[in-house]
Parts: sequence; structure tokens; C-alpha cells
Amino acid sequence: MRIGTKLGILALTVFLVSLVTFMISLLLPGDPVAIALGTSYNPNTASGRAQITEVRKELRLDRAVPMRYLLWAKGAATGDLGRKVGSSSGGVKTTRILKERLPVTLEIMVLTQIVAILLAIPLGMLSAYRKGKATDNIITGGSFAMLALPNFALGLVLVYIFSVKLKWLPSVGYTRLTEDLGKNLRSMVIPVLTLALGLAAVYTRLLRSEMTATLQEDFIQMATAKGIKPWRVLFGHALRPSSFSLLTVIGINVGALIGGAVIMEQLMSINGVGSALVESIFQREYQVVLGLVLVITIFYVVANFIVDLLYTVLDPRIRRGSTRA
Amino acid sequence: MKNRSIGHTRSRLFTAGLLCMAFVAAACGSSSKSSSSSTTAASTATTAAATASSQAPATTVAPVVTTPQTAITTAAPAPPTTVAQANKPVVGGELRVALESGISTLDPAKALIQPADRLVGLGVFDPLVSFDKDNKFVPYLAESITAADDLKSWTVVLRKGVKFQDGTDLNADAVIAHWLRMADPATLSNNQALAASQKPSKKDDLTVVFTMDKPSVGFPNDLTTSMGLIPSPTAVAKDPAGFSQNPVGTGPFKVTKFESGGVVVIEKNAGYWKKDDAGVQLPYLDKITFTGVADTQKRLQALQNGEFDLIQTADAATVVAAEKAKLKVQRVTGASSTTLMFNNKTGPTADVKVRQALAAAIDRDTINQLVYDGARVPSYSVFALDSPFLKKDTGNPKFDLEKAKALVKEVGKPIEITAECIPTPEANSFMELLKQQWEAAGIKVTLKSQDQGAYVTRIVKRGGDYQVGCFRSNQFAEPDQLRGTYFTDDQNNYTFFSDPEVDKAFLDGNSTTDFAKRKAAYDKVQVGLAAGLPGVTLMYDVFGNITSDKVFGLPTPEASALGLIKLTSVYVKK
Repeated sequence: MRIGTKLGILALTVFLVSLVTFMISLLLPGDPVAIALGTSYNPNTASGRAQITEVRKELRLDRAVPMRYLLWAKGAATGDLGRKVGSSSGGVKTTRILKERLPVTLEIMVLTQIVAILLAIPLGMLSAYRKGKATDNIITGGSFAMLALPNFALGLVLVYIFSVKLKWLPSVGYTRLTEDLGKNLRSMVIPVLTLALGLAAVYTRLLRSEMTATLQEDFIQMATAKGIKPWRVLFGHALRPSSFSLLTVIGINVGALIGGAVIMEQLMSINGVGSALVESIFQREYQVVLGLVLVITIFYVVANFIVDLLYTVLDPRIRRGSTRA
Repeated sequence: MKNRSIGHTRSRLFTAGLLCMAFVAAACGSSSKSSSSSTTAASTATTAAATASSQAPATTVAPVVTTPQTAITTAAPAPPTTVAQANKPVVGGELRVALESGISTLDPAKALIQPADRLVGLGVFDPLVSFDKDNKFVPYLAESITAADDLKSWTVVLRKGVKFQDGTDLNADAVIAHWLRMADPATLSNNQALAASQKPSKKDDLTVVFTMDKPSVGFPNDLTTSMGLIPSPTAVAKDPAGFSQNPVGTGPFKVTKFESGGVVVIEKNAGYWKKDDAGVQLPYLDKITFTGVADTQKRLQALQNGEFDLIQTADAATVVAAEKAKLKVQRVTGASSTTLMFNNKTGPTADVKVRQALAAAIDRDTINQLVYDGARVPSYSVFALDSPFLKKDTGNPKFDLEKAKALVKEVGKPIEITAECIPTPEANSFMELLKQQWEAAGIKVTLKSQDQGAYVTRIVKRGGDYQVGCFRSNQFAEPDQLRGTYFTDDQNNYTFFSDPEVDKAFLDGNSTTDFAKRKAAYDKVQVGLAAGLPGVTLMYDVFGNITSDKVFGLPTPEASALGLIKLTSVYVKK
């Protein structure tokens, strides 16, 4: 498929997701105006009614639904994602929330992927190479243990060990990268490790099974017969053809990781985009919910788009196939 | 998925509109060794104006809250309640504070409701009126505040020479601009209606006269809430929408970093107008970092780990845990409590005998033990335990199962009620216990629960579509703040309670500053409420400020409740 077509599909996906999210926000229970105004206004007075009008205007509830969507989409396209309207919310803009919180979540997600991949590649390969031996059994057993452990439980255990008992790492909060790199990394250890261990288990299992198949291939037998060292065979010859499923799953996990990040953000009082989303849903701040979901969607879709492109790097046949098509 | 600790739930409950919470007040400070019974005078603050006038020789003398002189001395840093009384305060250093929630807004015009927002707000802004160490009203940013005889107008004279953090002068125009902004519906202020009923006019550069339609005995109290925190008119005009994140006040600290819901940093305002008794420039601290940590136990844990120096909590169990762990705890028993409202208009609870039976069947001690580990204080009154207005023998029903059974029999037909609350673990457990206790008295109970936002919205719409509902009563220092809740047909009367005697007593209490007369009026109110039972109060709230042993100089918590303190006089020893 041409890149142009792919980009078209990408845009269509973002559009559809925004439309569906917008529609779901219409179905949520509770009157956003009443919630925004709290309880200290009196709907039976002129000024109370004026307040209602203000909020309705702000939330575009005075417009028809399709118009509301179009206005919102127009705003989103020009970088205006609305703001909180609740009377005790401070009217903070969605873009500000994103600016403050997206880097936090992104850091957790990126570090998690890196750690998970760095753990999974050697372990998966070792496991495949030593298939059926003690090493493989230990790695496989460990992987299953990590898969079975929900990440919030693992998180609590890590907090207990490293923060409460050993007092090595902070149990709550987050220091920005720009403020203090050391503190930043320290605050990242528990959330990243918690998420990465479970993920690494998935990747390890996947790589092991792919690699086991690859190692049966003729060209591997050939390489081994030529006397090439095992680690060179594994890294130089076997890894690339064994990474397709892994790559796909890494892409898919960009989405799953957002869910994991929400849990870790809640667990450790880290103010990321996940906790902002949960907060906004509870506060019925629809504009913020829509804005955040839109941006998360874009990230997800773009991440998978990049994974698609990486296939062509891994396997030139795909690239050639696309030029022929 | 959302980590719903009790503390967090509670702060959420505040947000969702603890009804008359706009005028939060009352509470009481006590020292670290206190138990609930040793809390200091709470609602004494309410009497400040009253006492002043009752002692005044002639009725023609306008009731002055206090003289400017006393304001300056008493409003100076309150003596540390903890060990370091004799120690000299340390100037400089940083305090790390964990709050119940991240800071969402610091715009006082919209109202600061969350305890976290209010605590930081008190660092950035100064209230016109505050409380001294005995919780009496004292002018703070104001130099004096004086009522007219009919209590329909109040004159506020501002301190001279005070500047906002951006260099703007504090003057009458700044105060008036703040009031007009709150009164403007477009601001979406939680205090819109109240501010609109208080018409400010400029008498001279430092004097504002507020005129009201009705006698307003509670005005000084309003000025202790976020209404009385004066923002810089220059900063507001520059960016009205962004002011909540870039606030400028006259307070001891200015905001240098604001992440909405995240970390907020405030740093010393070198030009602050206040010095301590020894002439040392306030505040002592250079910097305070606030972090929102929703889970109360995690907050305590992080304090013990040394990650924070001070934490706030609204969870009684955490306060008890901290006391057991020998941490420095400033415990506060509030005026507010968990309550049950009965629908006095329709359904089975419209019959006062049913309400009496329900009240007599409630065993608060058991609930306290089972749900709160005995950490909270059973409540039989809407007044704080140490409020000077509290009447002890109102006849409010105590636990008496036999009496409850007898009342059920007297009603003569099967009683079936539906009791509602919000779906939090805390609420679920005490509602389940209530159900058991009521069923023991022969009342059939169905429990229902609804998401807080929707629940509160439904109740405050006054549709009357409930029978028994959980709620929280409001914090107050000024008993007139209860009026709406119990006054016939008031928009804040969610129980539809109506008693002409009680209405009259409220109006009597509202029309004078004479303490004895007011006390008599509110005694009648309490007797009326105990007999009519619009609802029952269950447990007083317990708040706490918990610190590491390096923190000193904590002032007596604000009588405006929730255990709030001004951090001006706090210092940290290495």
C-alpha cells in the first residue's frame, strides 16, 4: 500500500474516533451545566439563569448537535481543544493540560517500551536457543508469573519494597525531566518497571516462539554449519525475521500502555494524561475528555503507522511489493 | 480504577457542592496531644461581633469587630502549638506539602472550595477578615470592619500601604472590582448570588461600604472565606480566564510554578506587609512545594518516608494512625458531620414518628467502631461540640432500640423506606450498618446508591424524589449559615422541613449581634430541630495537619474549618 493511502486511512481513523467519542459524550448521564455550576447558583433568579446561559454557550449546548461537532472539530484543527468549565475547575485549557501532562505519560510509555524490549530480546532469544533446557524453563516460568500478576499488584509490591522498606525511591509524585534528571529517573523506576515487566513477559514469549521457528530454517542451519558463532547467528541472522509479530504487538501495546499508565499514575499520584482523563470524566468536563481522547487516538494511530513503515525496513519484500502494487 | 480513598472521596464531596459550603467556617484548633474532647473553642469565632456589641455600653455604638490595634497584634503569627514555643523561628528553607488533591484553581472570585485550593489560596492571598488564635474574627487585610445598627451595611477600611505582588496598590477599587466580578454571572462564581446581594460602594480610597437588603450578621464570616481573598485587579484585567493559574494577591507567597492538578510552587513575597512580634519579616519560609496525593494513606506513608514535611487529611483513621505513630498531629474536630436527611414532605418519612423511630434505632458508637475504627466523634447536633451556641439537652434522640420498636408499633402500619447514598466503600459500609440497625427495629429498608454528581444534582433540585439520603452538613462558624437548610421553602432546604417557630428563631438570631439574644434564638432552633427531625447528624468530621518533627510554627487552624492553616508563620529546622 502506498504511504499516501496509509495516511488517508490514518486521517479517516482519527475522524471516526473523534466522531464516536463526541457521540458517546452526548450519551453520558448527568447535566453538564448543573455540574459545571455546582450548587451555589439559584436557577430561579435572573442571575442564575444568566449563569446557565453562559455555560450553555461555552459548551455550545445552544447549537444543534452536528453544528456542535463541526465547531469542535474546527477548533481542534486550529489547536483549540476547549477548556474546563466547572466553577471550581479554574477554567484550565485542554492544551495546557496536554502540555503539562502528556510529557509525563509519554516518558512512562517510552521508557516502558524500551525497558520491556531490552529485557525481552535477550531473554526471548536465550529461551529459544536453549529450548527445553533449564534456562528456557526458568525464563518461561518467570514470564508466566509476570503475565499472571496484575500490574497494580506488582506496583504495590515494588512501592512496598523500594519506597517503604528500603526508602530508595519516592512512593509518590514525579519530578520533571527538565528540572532534575536524576530525580526524574528515580521517580520513573517503579512505574516503568511495573509496566515493563508484564510487557516484557509478553514480548519474551512471542519472540521465543517466532525464534524457535526461525531457528529451524535452512539458512540458520547453513550459518551454523559454516561455523559462525551462535550469538552472531542469533543477532545477525535470526532476530530480524523473528521480529514481525513482536513489532506488531509493540504497536498495539501503545494503546494498552495508556491504560497501564492510568493505573500507575493513580497508584503513585503522578499527574499524567491518564489521570487527567479519569479526572475529567468524573468532573464531566466533556471538552477536556474529547480533547484528550483525540490526542491519545492520534498518538495511537501514528504509532501504528510507524510500525507499518518499520515492516518495510525489516523486510524489503514488503517495500518491493508496494512499488509493484 | 479511580483510587477512591475516603479522604479523596471526601474532598470530592466538598467539590460536588457541599451546599452551603461557600460559607465554610468553624472548626477548632488544638495541639498535637489533643483528643477529640480537648479541641479548643470552635465557633467562638461567631461570637466575636456579638460579644463586642453585647459588651458595648450603648446601643448607638456600632458593633466593631475589633480595633485595628488588636488586629495588628493578634493577627501576628500565632504561637506555635507545638514544642518549639521558646525556639527562635528559622528564616528560609523549603516546606514540602502533600495535599488531598492537585490544585485546580486559585481564583478566589470563582470560589476556592477544595481544601487543597484553599490552603494554597491562603498563601497567595490575604483574607479581609480572619481569626485570631482564639478563633475570634479579626480584620486582617482590612484594618477595621464596622456594622451599621440595622446590620444592613458594613464599612470595611483597608490597611494602608499594602501592595499586591505585582506592585498594584490595595485600595477600595480593588475590593469593589473583586465584588463586581463575583457578582457578574459570566464569571460563574460559586458566590455569585451572595456577592450580588452585597453592594459595594467607595467611600474613600481605602474605605468600602457594603449595603445589603437584609440584616447580614454573617458578613464578617463571608470575608474569611474565598470571597474575602482580594486578587490584584491589574492581573485579573490582563488575563481573566488565566488568573486561576497565574494568581496575584497580597499574600506572603507568590506563585512561581503552577501545573494544574500537579505541582504548585509558591515563593516568599519579599515585600509582604507583615512582620512577626520580634520584628522579623514574614513569611519565614523561602519556598513551599505543594503536591496533590489523593490517597490519604499514601500521603501519610510518604510523610513517614521523608518525602514531605506536612500533609493535610480529612480522614479520621489517618489522624489516628498518625497519632499512634507518634507523629506531630494537629487534630481538628469540625462542625460538619455525616448526616442523614429525611424527606419531611412525602413518603413514609413525612410522618415525624417514622423519623423518630429511624433516629432512635441508630447506634452511632457501633458505626464509629466498625467503619471508622472509633476515630470519629458521634454527633447529635448540627453545631460543633465546643460551639458557644451548642445546646446540650435538646432532646435529640439517642440510641434506644426499645423506643424505636415502640414508635414503629405506634405508626401502626409496616414501614418500608429507601435509603440512598453514593457508591463509595465508606458510604456502603455505614449504609449497610444503618440498614441492619433499622431492620432490628422492624423497619424494612432498601438501599440505593448513585454516582455523587448525579446524586447531589438530584437532591439539590428539590424534586423531593428521595426518602432518606446521606449528606454532609456544612462547616460554619456563623449559625445564620444554617438558616437556608431549615427555613421553610428556602432553596437550600432539601428536607422540606417547616416549622414556623424555627423560622422565627432564625430571624431573631439573624437580626442582632447581641450574643445572649442570639444564643436564646439558636437554642430554640436546636430544640425545634430535635423535635421535628429534618434529619440526623451521625459523626463529626475529623481533620488533621500532620508534620515531620522538623516543622514548627503551625498556627491554630482557621475557624473556617477543614483544619486550614496559614503557612506564614511556619518554619523548618534542619
